[in-house]
Amino acid sequence: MDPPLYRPLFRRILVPTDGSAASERAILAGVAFARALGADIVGLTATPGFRVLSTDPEMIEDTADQYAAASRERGRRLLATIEQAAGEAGVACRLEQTVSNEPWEAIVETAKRLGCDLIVMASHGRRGLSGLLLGSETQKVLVHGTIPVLVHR
Amino acid sequence: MNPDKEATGTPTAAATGKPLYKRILVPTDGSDVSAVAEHAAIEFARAHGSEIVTLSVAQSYPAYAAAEASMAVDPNLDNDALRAWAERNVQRVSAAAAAAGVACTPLTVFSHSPSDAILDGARDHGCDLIFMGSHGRRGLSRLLAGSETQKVLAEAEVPVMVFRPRAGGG
Amino acid sequence: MYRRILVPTDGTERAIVALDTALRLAAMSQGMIVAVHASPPPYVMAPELGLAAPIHEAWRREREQLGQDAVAYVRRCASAAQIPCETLLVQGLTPCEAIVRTAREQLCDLIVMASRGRGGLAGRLMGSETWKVPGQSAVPVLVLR
Repeated sequence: MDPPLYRPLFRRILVPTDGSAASERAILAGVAFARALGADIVGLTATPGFRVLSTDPEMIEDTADQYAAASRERGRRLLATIEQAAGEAGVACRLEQTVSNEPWEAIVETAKRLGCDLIVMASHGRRGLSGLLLGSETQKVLVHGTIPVLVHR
Repeated sequence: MNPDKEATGTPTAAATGKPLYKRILVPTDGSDVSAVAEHAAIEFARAHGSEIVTLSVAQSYPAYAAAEASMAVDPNLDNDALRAWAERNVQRVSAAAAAAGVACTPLTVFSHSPSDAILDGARDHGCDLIFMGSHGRRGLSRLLAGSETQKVLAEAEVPVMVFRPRAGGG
Repeated sequence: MYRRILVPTDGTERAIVALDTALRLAAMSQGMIVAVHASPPPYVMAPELGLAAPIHEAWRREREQLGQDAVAYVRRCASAAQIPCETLLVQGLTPCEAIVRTAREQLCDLIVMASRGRGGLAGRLMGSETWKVPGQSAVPVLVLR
């Protein structure tokens, strides 16, 4: 493997995932890019917070806890995909789970907090319509973020 | 009076009574080449029944050291002096327009990006044509802050008439 | 990893940021770059111009010169970096169409673009032609700041 560049182009790459097929392609691209650059990666999931639909306090509490537990478990599974891909490529990897109703915010904030200098993400996520428009979360990261973004289809 | 069409079938401005270009944006920075563009714009407007919007951009902080050498503003002037400088520029153009019977709206604005201010001005004031002077440097020959004219040309949605210094002078 | 990298240039210094990164990536993979400049179609069709024809013609020539200067600059930089480079001037398509189509036709595997730094106004940024590229491109797009 070639040694990393003396002045690396990118050192730490944030790879958010929502479990969609497009995310998985972006993960592979992000890991491969990190490997070529000698960078490390940060895997990130941002699951939405629990939304109260009932007015029964006890039911709400139980359901919220159950939801949170299920959410964490799902996030763990998604991040395991990233961890495995990174491991196979010999790329150092850190995993972050966040709860956020605005995934783009979690992405931008995590990138800042952990000193990432590139975000690799899918052009469309789980909820997106592919085609002429960019997925809304990717669009918001492009507009509100301050670091480069590699948009992968 | 008959609104005759020319032999080509294209209605002329005179025939329809409406100018093809209604409002011309004329950036001004007090330089000689800017004066060429201003004069041309006023003549054009007079001949075609257009009106003019003239804009002077006061750069709100010192330009990059490697910026176009012929920027007509001293980066050490404070904001009041910059504003006064911009006002003088647009007043001069307004006076010349008035003398030619051309309606003119003067604008001054603070901006760190003259090209953005020009593009915004054209859009905000419904201008359909821009006449501007260029300080003549072509291409990205050096790692400069970049020619403002290039940026306007690259992004304007309306035609841009560029006036350059004559070779060997200006 | 990326071996045929498309670098759109609009003739302004924004291209410099993208070009620098593209050349470094090409060097890493012993690849090449493709520079493209798009002169959009005229906003008024020529036969209707009448009196305006000389103005549009002068404008068209200015933009064409801008495009030639832009790709010439890229060619010089690539040559200095010893990276193979192809240049293309595309007429009659919007910048987004030109970029997406050129990337496809030239079999590029990455597009490198700089975002527009116009005052950070989100609405205006997303209104720009070039922001459509990441949504429409089949090829990955690296958006730099």
